[in-house]
Amino acid sequence: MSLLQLLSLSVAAILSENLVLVRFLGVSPRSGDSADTGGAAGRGLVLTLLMGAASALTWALDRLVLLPLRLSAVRTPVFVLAVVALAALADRFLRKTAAGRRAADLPLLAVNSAVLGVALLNSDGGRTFAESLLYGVCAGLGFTLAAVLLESLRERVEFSDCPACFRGFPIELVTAALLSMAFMGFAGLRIG
Amino acid sequence: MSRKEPIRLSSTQPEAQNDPKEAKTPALPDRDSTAVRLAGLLPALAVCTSLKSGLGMGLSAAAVLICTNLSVSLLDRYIPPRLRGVVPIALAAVFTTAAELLMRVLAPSVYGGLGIYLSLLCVNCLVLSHAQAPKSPPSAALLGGVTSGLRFALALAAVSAVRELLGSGTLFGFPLLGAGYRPALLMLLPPGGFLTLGLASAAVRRYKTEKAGREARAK
Repeated sequence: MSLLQLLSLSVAAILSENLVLVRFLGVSPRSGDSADTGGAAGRGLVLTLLMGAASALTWALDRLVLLPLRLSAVRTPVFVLAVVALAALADRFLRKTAAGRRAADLPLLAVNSAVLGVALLNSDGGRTFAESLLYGVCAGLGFTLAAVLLESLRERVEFSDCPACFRGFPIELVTAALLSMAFMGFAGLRIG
Repeated sequence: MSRKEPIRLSSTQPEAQNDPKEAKTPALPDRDSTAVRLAGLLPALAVCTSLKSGLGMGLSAAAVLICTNLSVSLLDRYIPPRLRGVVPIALAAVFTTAAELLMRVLAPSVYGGLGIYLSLLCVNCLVLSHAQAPKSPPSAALLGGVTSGLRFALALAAVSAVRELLGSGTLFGFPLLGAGYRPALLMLLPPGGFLTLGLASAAVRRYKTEKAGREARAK
């Protein structure tokens, strides 16, 4: 695995295969306190850390336990429980340190489809440990990017005069469609 | 319609934030609010590019929702309070796996197209918000699961039908729009998914407000 290939994997994870805008992952439960771009960024970074840790853990489970035992069929429940346990552990750990406020979201982030999605994509792609870890972290950064962009767009839209029936979720979806169209432009981007 | 309320999914219910024991469990917003339904549809949209896979996804989601709902309601008495947040997720994951295996056997061609999105049903916020809602008797849970699951399947099928028709000019693989139709590839790409759902939800809301207005005037 050359450096260039790793670079190309990270570019794909952040831009051309962006979790939110291209793969539809992680859009579900929107947390109330991410009402500003700073909140969205902070939440995204916590999710990035969780996704990195979850990628490493699920890689180990997949390669060292499930594959040798030929239990790949039950990977979904195993991954889900691993992620939930990881988030509970991180929650307990973070609660004691200063970063308490963001940590309140951790258990909810565990059931974010992005975390499980990355674990499943790593497993499907047959990635090595380093690749899985890199993909997890970069996909998290891509998530943060998309979340911040969508949040700032939402702030602009909130002050504009859009038809009543579009208020709220519908206009957010249309905004996401436009942003996703912009991200389609990265589709041909390849390094190495 | 108030603006704040339907827009944001409040992640943690107020009482859950204060109680440290409750805070461990992922608290999800009210079940069946429009926002949860729409957010639940989103991850499924990735595979809804043809009516066939849309129906496959929708029906599997309905089955998982019904089974999870019913089993949580039946087992509720035996679940220790500490595990109340985890057990519904674990049950949803088990039923998702069952759905995956069944689909692989019964409809391998559909299964191939669904990929990871079928597995992701177990963390779908519609399924989880149902499973973690305040408990109801089994019959009510079953009924709630069936209505909500079928509604989900119907919505997915409708969105996929629109995307397939505009994106490839076919429906269930049969060419409908004639040879002269130039398919709009955009509808099959991710932006088409967001756009279709956004326009459809706006149309549904418009219809509902007009209906409510007509009823108010009739009274």
